[in-house]
Amino acid sequence: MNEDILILEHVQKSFGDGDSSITILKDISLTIKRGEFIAIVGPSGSGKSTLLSIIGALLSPSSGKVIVDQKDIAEYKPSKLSSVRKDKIGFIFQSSHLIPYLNVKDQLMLICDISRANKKEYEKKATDLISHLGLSHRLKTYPNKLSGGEKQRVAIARAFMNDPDIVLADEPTASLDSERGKQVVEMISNEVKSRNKAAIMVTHDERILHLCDRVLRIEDGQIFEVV
Amino acid sequence: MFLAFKELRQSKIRYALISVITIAVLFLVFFVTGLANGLAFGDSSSIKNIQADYIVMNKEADGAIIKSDLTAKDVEIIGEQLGGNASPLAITMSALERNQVKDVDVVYFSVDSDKYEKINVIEGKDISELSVNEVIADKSIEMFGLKLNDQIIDKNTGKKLIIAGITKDQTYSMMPVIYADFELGMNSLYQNKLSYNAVVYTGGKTSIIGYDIITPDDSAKSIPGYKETQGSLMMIVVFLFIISAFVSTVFFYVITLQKINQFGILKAIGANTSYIAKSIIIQVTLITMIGLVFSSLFVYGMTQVIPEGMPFRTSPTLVLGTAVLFLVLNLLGSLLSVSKVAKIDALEAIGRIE
Repeated sequence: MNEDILILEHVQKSFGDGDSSITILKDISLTIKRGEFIAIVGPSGSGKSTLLSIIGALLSPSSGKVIVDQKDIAEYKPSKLSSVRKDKIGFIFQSSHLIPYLNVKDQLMLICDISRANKKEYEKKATDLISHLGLSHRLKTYPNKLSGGEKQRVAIARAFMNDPDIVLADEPTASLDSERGKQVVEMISNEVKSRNKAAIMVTHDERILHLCDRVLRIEDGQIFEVV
Repeated sequence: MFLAFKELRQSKIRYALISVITIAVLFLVFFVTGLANGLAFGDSSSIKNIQADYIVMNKEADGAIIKSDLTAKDVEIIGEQLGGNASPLAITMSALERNQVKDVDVVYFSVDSDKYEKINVIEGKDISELSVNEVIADKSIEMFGLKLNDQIIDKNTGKKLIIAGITKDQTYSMMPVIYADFELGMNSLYQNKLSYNAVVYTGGKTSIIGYDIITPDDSAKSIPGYKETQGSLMMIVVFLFIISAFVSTVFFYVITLQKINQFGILKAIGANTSYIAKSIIIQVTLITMIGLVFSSLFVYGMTQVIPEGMPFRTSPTLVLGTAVLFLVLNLLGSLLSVSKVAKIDALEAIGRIE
């Protein structure tokens, strides 16, 4: 198994066209191994989310290579990108983004339905994940009855449901108090380590950085390792 | 399937409301089509069911038998040209006298009982077997309490007639038709000379100079007022279709707009447009089906309670055809929502792009 799960080579991203184009990312290169949990920090407008979107196959870079599990996805068409998201990427969004009319278990079974996967196998996976994240008593609860922390834990479980190679978390602690935020990040970290996945977290929250293996800082479209 | 049903279960009120609207509109659609069909049938079934291939009438009639007027001489000329299989036909309105109760309006179809083709009688004698003073009446006469072998009295002539046969699907302007032989003289009720409306015959299409020859179906459409009634009812039906298709389209479109964020999330976690589109189409189909099933049940229930004389007539083919057309229209409408879904950008929907 190749250890380098994600490689970015000279990734550049600009928006707009011609004279008015704005370059958000200038020449970004980085490598992430399995089992690594990385934080990306930086001031707003620095391109953190753009970078995360490119890694998450939501955006294509203007130039450069994005190699996920040994395949360069930089030139993929939108339909192919969505299957990359389905199979390789797990997302944890800033505000959990759960589907309002699905209960906790169905939030996870949705992934099974989208991937047309074996139902039995996924049901077991879902129950395991839910109990692992301490939500067993909430199995049949709908999102409007869950607390912020619980929602975020469901989102984490959902991100791991498709057995992704890379888990991306966009400000997962933004809507939580510090204690809950810390718990959530610890959970992400635990899942990443125990399942040997790679995770990238964009955050403003300095208090949780010690839980990450490496911290990268983006400034003016360039990336630096924070030692 | 998964999403579509889970959502229906969670948003019961929302989908119940649209179902009720669908049911109501469809009920109206079925009702008006049934009414149009029933009126068309009541007006013209006797003409459509004339037992002949072609009807010869004069040119001034424009295809409407009732407006055509042939003299005995005309009938003779036409008869010579056509040969043996032709029978003159005279249509006269009259009434039957009854004791203590209101008269029954009827229409006499006088024919040459030896030459007219067999009528589909459901009871009693056929046209060629009639003896003197015997007639064949349409089944709708039973609504007035008259039945096979009853004696009836014609109000104009005072003649006593016997219902010797019962046929069906023979009404004209909502009145039961009575088939009689010329011997009874019903064709000269209002004039002293013999008068006829048309000559009917079985055989190939020919042409006779000075006369029009058309099929019974075409002649039915020329009945005065027929096209106008059918036209206005048709317009109502078409509008109901358009309205209901719009209601369903707008409903699902608005719901889709509300759910753009959700669909964005779905796209972000790997669902493609067809996965989401499938869920919308399943919902549209399901709601339409619920509407169809309930409204046709209601219409069926209504047919059990409406008075017998009400010109309402529907058939499985009519209901099925209407239902399929309705479903197709609603699905076409749902394409608007689907096209919206196709345009949703996962990134924008999540709302986190700098």
